[in-house]
Amino acid sequence: MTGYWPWWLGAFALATVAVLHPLLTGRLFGVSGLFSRALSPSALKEERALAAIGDMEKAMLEATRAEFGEAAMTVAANDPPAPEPSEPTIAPRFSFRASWLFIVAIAAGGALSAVISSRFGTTEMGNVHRALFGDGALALLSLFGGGFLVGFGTQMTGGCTSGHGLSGCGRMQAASFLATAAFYGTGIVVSLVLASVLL
Amino acid sequence: MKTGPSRNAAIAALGLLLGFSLSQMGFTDYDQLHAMFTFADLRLFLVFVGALGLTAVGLRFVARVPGAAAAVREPRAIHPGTVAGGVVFGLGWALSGACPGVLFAQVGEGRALALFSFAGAALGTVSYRFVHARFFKWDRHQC
Repeated sequence: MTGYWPWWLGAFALATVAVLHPLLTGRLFGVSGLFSRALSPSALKEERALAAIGDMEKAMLEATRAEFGEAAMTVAANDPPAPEPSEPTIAPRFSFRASWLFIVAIAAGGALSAVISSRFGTTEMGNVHRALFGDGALALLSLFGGGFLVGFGTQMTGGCTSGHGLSGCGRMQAASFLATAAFYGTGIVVSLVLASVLL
Repeated sequence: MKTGPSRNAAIAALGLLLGFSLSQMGFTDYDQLHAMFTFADLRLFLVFVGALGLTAVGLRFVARVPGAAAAVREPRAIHPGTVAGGVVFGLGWALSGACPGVLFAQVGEGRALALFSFAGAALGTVSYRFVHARFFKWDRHQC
C-alpha cells in the first residue's frame, strides 16, 4: 500500500467535518456552494454593502457624541432591551470572505499533509492518468475539461460529494440520493469505459 | 455563533482538517480514485460509506441544537438539474480526479497540474450562471 489512511480513519475525519460544520458555522457542509460564493460578484458586493453599513453606524454614533456629548451616549442604555432574535428559519450563507477562508484552509491542509509525507510539489497526476491521457495536451485537456464539467455539474445539481453525498444523504434527502447515485454511478461507468478502452 | 473571530477560527480549522484528511487518505490521488471507481480497491468507497453513516447519526443530534437546527432541517428540492448535473459532475470527476474539496487540497499539495483543473472548475462554476439564466431557467429553490 501507499501509506494512505485506513478507511475507518478517513471516514471518521470526513464525518467529523460534516457534523461539526453546521454546529460551529450554522451552515451545512458543502464545498461547491462555497466555491460559487467565492466566485460571485454579488457576494462580494453584499459584503462591501454590509461593511459600509457598519461604517455608517459608527459615523452616526460619532456624530451623536460630537453634537450632544457623552451624556447622550448613555440614554440608549435606559431603553428596554431589544427582543431576542428568534431562531433563524433559513441557514445563513457564507460571506465572500468566509468562503475564501475555507478554500484557502483546505489548500493549507493539503500542503501540510504533503509536506509531512514528503511529497509536496509534483507535476505528476499518477500512473493511471498518464496511461489514460498521456503527458501532453490530452492530459491538460482532461484536467481543464474535467474541471469545467465538475464546476458546471456541481452547480447544476446543487451540490457535490460533501453537500449532496454527506450532508444531503446524511439527512435522508431524496434529491441528494438521486444526485449522489448520478455522480457516483457516472464516475464508475466512465472510469470502467476508460480503463477498458485505453488501458 | 454568527460572524466573528471564533466563527472564522472554526471555518479555518474545519478547512485545514478537511484538506489534510483528503490528502492523507489518498482522495487527492488519481490512481486511488480510479481504483475506487473500477472496484479494484474498495478502500475509498468504504471511506465514503462510513463517513455517510457516521454523518447521518451525527446530524440527528445536530438537528436539536439551536443555531444549527435551521440548516439541518432545510429540505433539498428535486429539480431538472438534479440528475443531469450529477451526470455532468461525475464525468468531470472521472476525467480530472477532482471533486471540489479534493481540488483545493490538490492545489495545496503543490500539484502543478491541478491548477488546470482549478481553472476549468472556476470557469465551469461561473459559466453555469449564464447558461441557467439564458437556457435552463428552472426553479433551483435557492433564495
